[in-house]
Amino acid sequence: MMKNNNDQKDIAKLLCDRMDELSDTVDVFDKITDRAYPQSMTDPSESGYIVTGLENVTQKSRRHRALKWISAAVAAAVLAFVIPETDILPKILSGISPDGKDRYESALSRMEEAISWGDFISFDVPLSYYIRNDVLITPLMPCPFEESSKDDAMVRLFIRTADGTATNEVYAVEYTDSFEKSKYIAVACSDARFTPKDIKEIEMSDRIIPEAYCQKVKDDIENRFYDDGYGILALDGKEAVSLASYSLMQYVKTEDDETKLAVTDVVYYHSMARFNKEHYYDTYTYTTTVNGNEEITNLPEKEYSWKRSVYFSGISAFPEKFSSDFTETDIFGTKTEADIEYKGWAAIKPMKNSADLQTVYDAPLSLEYHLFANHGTFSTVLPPAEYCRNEFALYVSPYRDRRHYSTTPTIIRITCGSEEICSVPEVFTRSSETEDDRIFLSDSYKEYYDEMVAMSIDDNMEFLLNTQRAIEEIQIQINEMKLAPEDTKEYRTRLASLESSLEWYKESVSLISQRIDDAMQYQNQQPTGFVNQQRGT
Amino acid sequence: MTAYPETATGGETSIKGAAEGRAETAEENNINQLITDCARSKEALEKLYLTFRKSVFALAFSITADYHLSEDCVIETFVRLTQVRHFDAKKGDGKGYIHKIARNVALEMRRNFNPRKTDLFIQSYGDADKTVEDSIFINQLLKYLPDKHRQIVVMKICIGLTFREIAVIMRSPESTVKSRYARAMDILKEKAGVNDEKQQ
Repeated sequence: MMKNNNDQKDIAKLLCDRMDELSDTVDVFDKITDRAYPQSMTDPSESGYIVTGLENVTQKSRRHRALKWISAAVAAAVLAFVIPETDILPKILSGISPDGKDRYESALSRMEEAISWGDFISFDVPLSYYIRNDVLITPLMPCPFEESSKDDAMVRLFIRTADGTATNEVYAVEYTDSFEKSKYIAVACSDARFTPKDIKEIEMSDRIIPEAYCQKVKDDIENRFYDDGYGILALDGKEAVSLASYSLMQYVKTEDDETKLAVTDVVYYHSMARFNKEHYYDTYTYTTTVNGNEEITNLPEKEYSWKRSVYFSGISAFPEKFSSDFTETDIFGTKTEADIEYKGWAAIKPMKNSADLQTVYDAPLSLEYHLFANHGTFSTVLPPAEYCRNEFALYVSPYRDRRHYSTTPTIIRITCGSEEICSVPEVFTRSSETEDDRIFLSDSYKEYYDEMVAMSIDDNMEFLLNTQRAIEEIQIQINEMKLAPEDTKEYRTRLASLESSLEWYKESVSLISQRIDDAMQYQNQQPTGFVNQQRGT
Repeated sequence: MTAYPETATGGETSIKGAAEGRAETAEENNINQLITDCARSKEALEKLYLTFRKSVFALAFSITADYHLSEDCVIETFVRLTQVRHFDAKKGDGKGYIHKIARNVALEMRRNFNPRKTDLFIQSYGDADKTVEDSIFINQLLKYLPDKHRQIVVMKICIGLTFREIAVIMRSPESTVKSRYARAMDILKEKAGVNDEKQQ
């Protein structure tokens, strides 16, 4: 019995020692903090911020609640005693003048007349969302309405289409509750106006899409954005989180009453941490004649403007200043001059093969790394409105897997709310590009990838030699041990361990050889100089 | 800035050290406080990490039998710990809570894992030979044990949890845990050749 206990202790000690040694090598704290405190977020306690006794768990200040009551009381007092003594009310009431009413009625009848014939794209968007994300709804026209005190204020947009393509003839109605005339708050109309004759002419024309369509986005993103060394795309030293682009093709009626074909590329991203509000964008518009036989030029912004935006009372509904979350920045036509080591991008077109996703406002697309389990969202992207989603693409650095700690396959899963849009492998191999038509790789990355394949052949050759040497050494040790057998537990354990290692190494020889064969086969299949290959769109 | 006292076992708790006995109540309270604070304090998270990284890894390894997968479990466990919102610092059992998360994460990862040995081999070259050897040794030793027996052995021997604590983590009766542990040790002795020695 005593011996039995001692045996148990021996095994326990052996296991404990080995596990202790093994677990001692684990060093992943940096990776944990990278994920637990994303990006620029630092320990709040280090910055002097502490949760005080005045704050509850939701971090809403109790003082704030008291202020709300005080301001409500002050507002009530002003309504009861101050306003009746002033001429504010009569002035407001006088705003609803017959002239003002005419302006509203004229805008409304113009809209009603326009939408009574022809085809339109029509959809609803919450007013507050439209104001903040105008770049994603009407990329060249800001929201025509000012902020509303009503939380449920909605905007219904009507975008005329010609031959199935959007135009710059746009109408907007601000309303609450339901889309009924009695619930309209304001109406807006764009400058442009197409006639049935214009539409017929467009339908008869041979539309030629400019050759440069979509290519400029790819080139300029490649020239401007780069991997920051940590697997994240960056711009001017700042991380460009959630980089995305889309294109919108539309017929444009100019001030000179000419119809042109315009393609607008929009690139947008936000910088630093994912909760950061710093959103940036840039647009580039090519314009040509309907038949595409004129030099590409940029149309002035005035061609995409709202002509009128009026409240029911006739007062202008245009905001005093636009409150978009997006700030215009220079992306198109610019280039990062610094010497960039890792250039290039991988683009995912999440909507390419999926059924149309209804826009769920304020439910952005979430990009998550899935390594067996959900490793959390690393990027959130608001998609553009449904009518602009044909070329919608999300960009990530293809170099992240270069420094990824795990050996296991990671999946980038794109979801919207609880709905999965698509999943693509994170390791962007050139073969996966051909297998998955939602993934596109830039030319720089393709060149890098091919270089890596060439290098991997050399590295694997070296691995192979080292493995073969290790096999020889282990085999010698096993032979020596077998020549002088011992009848001890240590001897048997050691021999078993060596034999397992030998088996492991032998198996790896065949796997490394297979890897070398695969790489060589890949090289033989690829023509040299990928830049010369036709660029994927 | 909040200063956190060292845990009763003094900073990093070795696996062997943890096996020496049940943690003091003061230590438990400290761990509970650290769990509550780690969502906003890197310092609290670091304390937890240094105290439990080895035991979390050991538990994960007993389930996944894969070094890299177990590393992933350590990461996932501590990240999830920072997302905990409903942990009661006064009543909760922090130590058990962490290991419960670790076990769930490891089971989840193992379930979703489609072994791709090709990569494992190549990656193994990047590690110290000793690590590979230790991994092989532990897997060889534990491979004869059924899944739950393996977890119990590691929690008992390597992490130093009591049978009661293991029972709570595994949601099994304490008597079942005890009998499984005894059975597991018998198997280990047999496979390690102790019985052969006796026969001789």
